[in-house]
Order: sequence, then structure tokens, then C-alpha cells
Amino acid sequence: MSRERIVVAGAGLAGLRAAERLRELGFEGELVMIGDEPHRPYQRPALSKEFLLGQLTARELALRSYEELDAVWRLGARVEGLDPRRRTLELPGGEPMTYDGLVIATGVQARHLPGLPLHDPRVRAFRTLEDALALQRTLRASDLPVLVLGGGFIASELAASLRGAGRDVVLVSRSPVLMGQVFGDELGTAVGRLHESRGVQLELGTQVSNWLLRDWGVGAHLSTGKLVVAGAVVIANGSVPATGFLRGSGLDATDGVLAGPTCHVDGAEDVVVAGDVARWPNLRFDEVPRRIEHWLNAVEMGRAAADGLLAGPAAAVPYCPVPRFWSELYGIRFQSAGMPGLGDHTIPLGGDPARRRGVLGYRNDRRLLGVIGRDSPRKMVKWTSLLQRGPSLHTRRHPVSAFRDAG
Amino acid sequence: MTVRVRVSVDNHRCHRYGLCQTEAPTVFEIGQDGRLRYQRRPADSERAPVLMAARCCPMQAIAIEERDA
Repeated sequence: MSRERIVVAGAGLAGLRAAERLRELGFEGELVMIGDEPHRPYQRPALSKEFLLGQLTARELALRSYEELDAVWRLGARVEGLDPRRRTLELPGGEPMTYDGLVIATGVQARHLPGLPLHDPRVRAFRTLEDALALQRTLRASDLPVLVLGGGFIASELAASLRGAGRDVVLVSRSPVLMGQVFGDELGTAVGRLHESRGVQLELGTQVSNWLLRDWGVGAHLSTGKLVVAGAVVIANGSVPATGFLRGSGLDATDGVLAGPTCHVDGAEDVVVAGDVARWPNLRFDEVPRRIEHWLNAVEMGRAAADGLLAGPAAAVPYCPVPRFWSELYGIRFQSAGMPGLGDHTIPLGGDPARRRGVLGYRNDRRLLGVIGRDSPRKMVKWTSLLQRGPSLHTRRHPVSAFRDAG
Repeated sequence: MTVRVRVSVDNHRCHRYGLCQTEAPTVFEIGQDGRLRYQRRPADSERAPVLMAARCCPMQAIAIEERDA
């Protein structure tokens, strides 16, 4: 291997799996892992569930590598700049770091909406281990209800976990349907009913118009006119790609780092991208570059990006996964495979997932694009396998180059 | 020298999503009763899929031990 130093920008799951794969493939040069959090890679999805409930400790969240990484770890260091022509990253204090190959796996950061009183310690975004520890401290200091702000998975998981811990919870979301972007109206509405049946106060289709910060609690005036009084406010209102360091790099960082089908960043052949921060076309479905914020995508794409980096853009194989995720609410397991969000209608595939166990298919007029199962792991194994064997734009007869020529 | 893979699953952590079965179907299986069955000593040829199952486990419940045989 001629590459002497590969830098992995981002010490989360995608970075870890990329680094592990580089060693597995026999890369013997220097491997540098740069992470802005002070921790080695850990199991982030557990923060809103098992960690918050005290079932797992911070130590137990550590992710392991199945290869000897022999890496140089630069933790607590945020990458501040990139010059792809000079193959140089800028680290804090203006420190330059050159690379022969670069994996961008900086992930996402909490979206900060204007007007949130984040200077108040009782109000905090929920993304990192520090955020989870801070929430635990705030919860210990007050018995008042917890206001969870957000309509996505993490918000729903937080609400469910907090109810499980016996807390009163108010879930406030601008969108009228929870998790609707991924689940669609049918299952999203079912999730709302599930929360209500477990005693969560749902305030949907509304937003906080005004905050009142008092010694005894935090008040939130909703646009509906209601007042919510809380002891803690958790912001789980989505995330944005961590691409600030690409300003001035010449790379396209509009909603994530734009890459081709093989994970190579457009405009820099020694740079690959993986995980939440990557926007690439998954040729299994279509040619539209998208980001996929699934934990399992970080595993699979981290490995694919390492493959692509060592193979080079000409020889690399397109990364065409069947994306998968899971979520757990009140002990109910939801699982997805494929791209349900691309479907324009649903079809029942057994059971009744809006109420009990079962599987719902999401399709367009041509084919099945995704499935979501509720407490149906065995059926999900079968549907996942079917999707994996299903049609893909990327086949032997249609190599990537043919698409580029045609495009 | 060959390395033998030993598999064990933490029953408290495992929530039986079955993602391990998708990765290594000859080693892991969710039964009709919803319980997970798996081979503790899979064949050497199953090493790569077993490691992938461990990586993909949502609960990180799969422990892999590799011993020189």
C-alpha cells in the first residue's frame, strides 16, 4: 500500500468502521482518528433509551473494533478546515495535518433553532453523552414535567424512556404527525396514539412562541395559546451535517458532503465520505444523492468508503445498500428496511402494525421500496432479504460509468 | 495456525431484532417463539459474517472471542 497516512475526520461509528476496514484490508500506514467529542466511539442510539434509563453505563457504551486499529487518536479536536489540493486539514490552533487519503465521517450536530434559551442549563439539545449526562442531572433537580421538543425518532424515544422512568412528559412538535417523514401518516399517527395511551401529553402542529425562565421552572407558551411548565427541556429537533470545516474547500457541502456512488467526494479523488454527513446516490433506488441518518448505514458505509478509498475511484464498486433502522418505544420494536419514504402508497404485508404486530410495505407503481415492521423480526428478515435480492440500477449490465455517460 | 471464533450473546442486552440473522443466517436465527438461537462455535468460514452480525447488532449484544486453535 502506497498511502502513508490516512486521516479519519470524525471518531463516531462511521469513522470507526472505516478505520477498522482499512486495517482489515491491509493498510499498514499511519491512521489518525480525529474526533470533536472527548470520547472514543460509543453507542449513541442507547443514549435516549438504555443509558437514560440507567440500564447501561457510559463504559458499557464503548464500541469495539474487531481489528487492531493502532491509530493515533486526536480527541476533543474539531477539524476546522480542508484544502483538498494540498491534501491538508486544519486542526484547532491552525495546526496543519497532511494526508494521503481522507475519510470524512464528521456526522451531524444538533440543529439550533433561533430563540431557544440554550443559555439556561435546564434547556439542552440531546445528541452526545455529555448532553445525556446533563439531562440526567436536570431530571434529578426537579420533579416537574419534561418538555421534549421534536417530532422525530429521538424525540419519541426520549418521551417513551422518560415515561418509563415515571416522569410526566409533554411532547411538542411542529409537525402534526410524529416520525411522519419516515413512517408516513398511518404509522406516524399510530405512534402518537401509543404515546397518548402511555400518558404523554402530545402538543402537535404547534411551536413554542415564547419562553419564560423562572427559578421554579421553565414555561413555554405554545402558538396554540397553551402554557407548558417544565423542569427540563430537551431539544431533539433534528440535526444538520457537520460540514463547517468545508467552507472555502471548494467541495459541495450543501446538506452534507456530496459524493458519487462509490463514496468518493466529488472533486477530490483521495477523499471519501461515510455516515450521516454523506450525500450520495444509492443506485439500488435511483440516482438522487441523499443523506441517510441510520446507525446501520454508518456501519456499512464506513466499510464501503474504506474499500473505495483503497481501490480508487476507477476500480471502486458502488455502495448500494438496503438501508435499515430500528427504534424502540415502550418495549415495542419498530424496524425498517429499504426506503419507505420513497413510496407513494402503502400495502399491508400481514398483521396490523398500526395497532399490533405486523408489516407495512411502501411502494410506487413499479415496485416495493421499503417495509416497516412492528414486533415482527422474523418477517423483517425475509422482507430484507427480498429487498436485497430485488432490482437495482447497479447491475453488471449497467455499470456506473454507463449512468454517467447517459446522464 | 487458525483462529477459532466463539460467539456469545448477552441475553439482557439482546432485544431480538434479528439483524444478526440477516448478516449471518447460518449462525443466528430468530425462532417462531421469538427467541434467538445461535451457534456458539461457528465454522471458520463464517467468521466474516459473524463479525458483521456483531457490528450490526443494534444492542451490541454479541460478544466475539477469537482463539488460536
